[in-house]
Amino acid sequence: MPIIFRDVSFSYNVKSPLEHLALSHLNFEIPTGSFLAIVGRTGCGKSTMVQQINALLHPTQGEVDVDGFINSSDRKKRTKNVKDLRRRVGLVFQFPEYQLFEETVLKDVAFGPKNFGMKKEEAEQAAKEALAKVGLDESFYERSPFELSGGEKRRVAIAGVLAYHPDYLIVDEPTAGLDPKGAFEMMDLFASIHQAGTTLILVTHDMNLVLRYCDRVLVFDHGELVANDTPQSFFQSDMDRYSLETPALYRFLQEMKAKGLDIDSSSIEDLDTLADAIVKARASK
Amino acid sequence: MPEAILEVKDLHFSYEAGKETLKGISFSVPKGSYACVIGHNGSGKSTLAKCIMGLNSTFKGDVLLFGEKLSPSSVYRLRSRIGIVFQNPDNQFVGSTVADDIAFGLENTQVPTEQMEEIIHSFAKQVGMEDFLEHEPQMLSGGQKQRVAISGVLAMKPSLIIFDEATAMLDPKGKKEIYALVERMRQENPDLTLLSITHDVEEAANADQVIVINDGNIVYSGTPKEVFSHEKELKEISLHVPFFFALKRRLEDRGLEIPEDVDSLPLLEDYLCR
Amino acid sequence: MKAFTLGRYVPYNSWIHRLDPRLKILATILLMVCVFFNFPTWSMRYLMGGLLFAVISILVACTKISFRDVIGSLRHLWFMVIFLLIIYVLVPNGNHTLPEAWNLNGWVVYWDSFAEAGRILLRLVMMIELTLVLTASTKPLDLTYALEWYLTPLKVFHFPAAEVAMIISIALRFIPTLLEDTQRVMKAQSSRGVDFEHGSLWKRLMGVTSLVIPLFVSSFVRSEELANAMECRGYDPQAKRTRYHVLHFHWLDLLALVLSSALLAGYITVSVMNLDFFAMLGWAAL
Repeated sequence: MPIIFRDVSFSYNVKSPLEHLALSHLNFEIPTGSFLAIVGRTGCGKSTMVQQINALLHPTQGEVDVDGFINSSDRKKRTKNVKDLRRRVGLVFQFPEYQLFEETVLKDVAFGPKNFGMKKEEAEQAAKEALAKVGLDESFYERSPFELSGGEKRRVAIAGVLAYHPDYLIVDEPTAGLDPKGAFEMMDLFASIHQAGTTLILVTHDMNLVLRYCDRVLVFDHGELVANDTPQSFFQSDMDRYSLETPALYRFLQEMKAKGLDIDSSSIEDLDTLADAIVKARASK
Repeated sequence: MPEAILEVKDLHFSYEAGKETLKGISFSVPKGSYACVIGHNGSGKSTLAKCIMGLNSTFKGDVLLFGEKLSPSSVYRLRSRIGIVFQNPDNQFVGSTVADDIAFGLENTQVPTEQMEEIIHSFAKQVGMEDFLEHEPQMLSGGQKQRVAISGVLAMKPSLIIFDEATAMLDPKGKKEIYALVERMRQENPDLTLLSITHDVEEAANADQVIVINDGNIVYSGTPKEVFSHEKELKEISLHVPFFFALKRRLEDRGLEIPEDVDSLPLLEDYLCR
Repeated sequence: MKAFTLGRYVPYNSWIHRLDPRLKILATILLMVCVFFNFPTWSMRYLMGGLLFAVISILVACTKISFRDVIGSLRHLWFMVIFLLIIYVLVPNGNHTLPEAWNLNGWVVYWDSFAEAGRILLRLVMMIELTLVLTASTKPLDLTYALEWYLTPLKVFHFPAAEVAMIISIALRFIPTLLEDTQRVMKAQSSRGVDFEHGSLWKRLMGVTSLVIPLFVSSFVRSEELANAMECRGYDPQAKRTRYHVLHFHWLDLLALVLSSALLAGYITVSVMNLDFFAMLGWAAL
């Protein structure tokens, strides 16, 4: 079943001089099994939107429906058991390494599953499986999370969410502060989690990641949903008005077109195919 | 050969005995140039930055700043001629407003109170923050905070500015703001020497000198053109090559001849469309 | 925000806002002393108290703080009122000057008890309003500068006044940042199934631990990075520094100082000399 937003609006500081409309009349669906990108400039409402999905924030109007769990502006309509919802929707915040607190890596990863009602042994088993998924072996189990490197800490934090087997996984800027190598390893991890059947929602500024991994992109601007498209078709549209960075490859194609060399973009996927197309276009000129 | 502002000679450093993080680094940065040190996390580049700033004092080898050896007795004096912009925009914002933050460095160097207002205003203007002087840090974006940090550094009139992953925590818009500002600083002040520790290879494409560090050693050093011609080797240490160099090589592989003087992406676009 | 009415800076531009913070601290202390003088008769006590209350009310009005904020700052006083009344009514009043309020089978309560409770309440209100005027009209940072100025003489005894002021101003600067951190960690742990409001004591304790430890860790990281940044920008706690913000004492500050001193002098005179205006005018006083 999909996640459905029905006319969702949200304001911060309602009924105060600081009232500020962060989301306005959102209507969309996130189909099960998708690898979705949420993009938009800083402050466009992306983070506010994902917090509606696991009921960290409640809409001021409309409702969010996650597999029948309702997060509505109307208190009476809200599904009471928020914990059940949060177990299904895993949310990994930006810089998640700052949520680690236990003495050992294993205990920290097992913390979530225990909160959601698993017994100690079950939780530890789940934690071990999750750690294996993020590529951390047994030698890490009894180490303190605070003595790990930055990238390892982040993996532990992500394992802490994977351990309770969420059906939906929302990740907010998971590659921030990582070097290109770490970033691609991290994204490959999410790709494999997606392959295994989890619906993935990626909040990001990095359009290269969107292009490489996502099958759909939602674009937010000033609290409104302004585009719901495939990445390939979105990147060929005018992205500058949303202050988004066009991936280098598409920016180059646009420049070339403007300067008068028309390149057949249908077969272009990466630099090699781009080079082929340029050579072809020049030959036919 | 212009005078070297920074010279690093056979630098070794280890956090724990028997495990060297830096295994003999040597390079020099001439006056007025823009050097980039690139490498992935854990390559030793942050450790190198800390040694140059005098925050790691137990290294072996020599660091020469403005021709003088860095040592516990010279560090304060030398540091007064260096400006450093750190990674986290929040953790280097000392003042409670933009003006206060720019003033912080001036207060430390005992600039007379009467002169401060004018200095603060002119340097805030240089980074385009003159309309935000009374703003508190929580009202600013990451990019704006880094611009304030740069303006605080510029106000000290340094000979060398070190950027220690200054754009790593910014969104694309913030990154662009900072790159444009750096470009302008270089044009307005040709004597200013810049050293950027980064993992953004697109930034390194604009530098005069690129130094690639891996596992505590310098693996490549030279102009961007020289360094980024090693695409395959760089890939092995998980660094990719800027878009321009990657595309140029692929076109050349396919038999297209590209003249020497086509050395930037806009020029390449023009050349291809000719 | 409602809970922080008292002690919050309200950014208006009144003449009180523009006063030198050093003067404001001193004047606040002078007026606070006035609040605590005693006078011989109830009429005098309420007359002098009333006068002072009028002065303070004018000051409150001058700062342009909204009436709602003023009421808000007094909102928890009803508890004190009840407490005071119970104490004074239950505890017999020895030297009474007012008539009996009631006499229930030998339980005599004089009007003195109510008058005393009223006077204490008035004093509390005045003190709260004075604090409100000071904090609402002065930026926390300016208060810090003023405090530093008052502590400077202690340097003779090696008291690090400038360092203390720097610590306070950095703490003030980082309060919003740490509040943001708190929010973020709370949300992250809630997503991991922590319930900060319900559940057994043990579970909630665990929840608080999962909040406090990450906050400590990030604060340590922040303070270390901040210390590095400050050092690199040439900060040396022992060295002499110039100041960007210099406090200026203007004629208005002098006037305010003279007026508040005069008020205090007046209260001292009336109290020490046991003056009774009502008797002087030949009116019957209580």
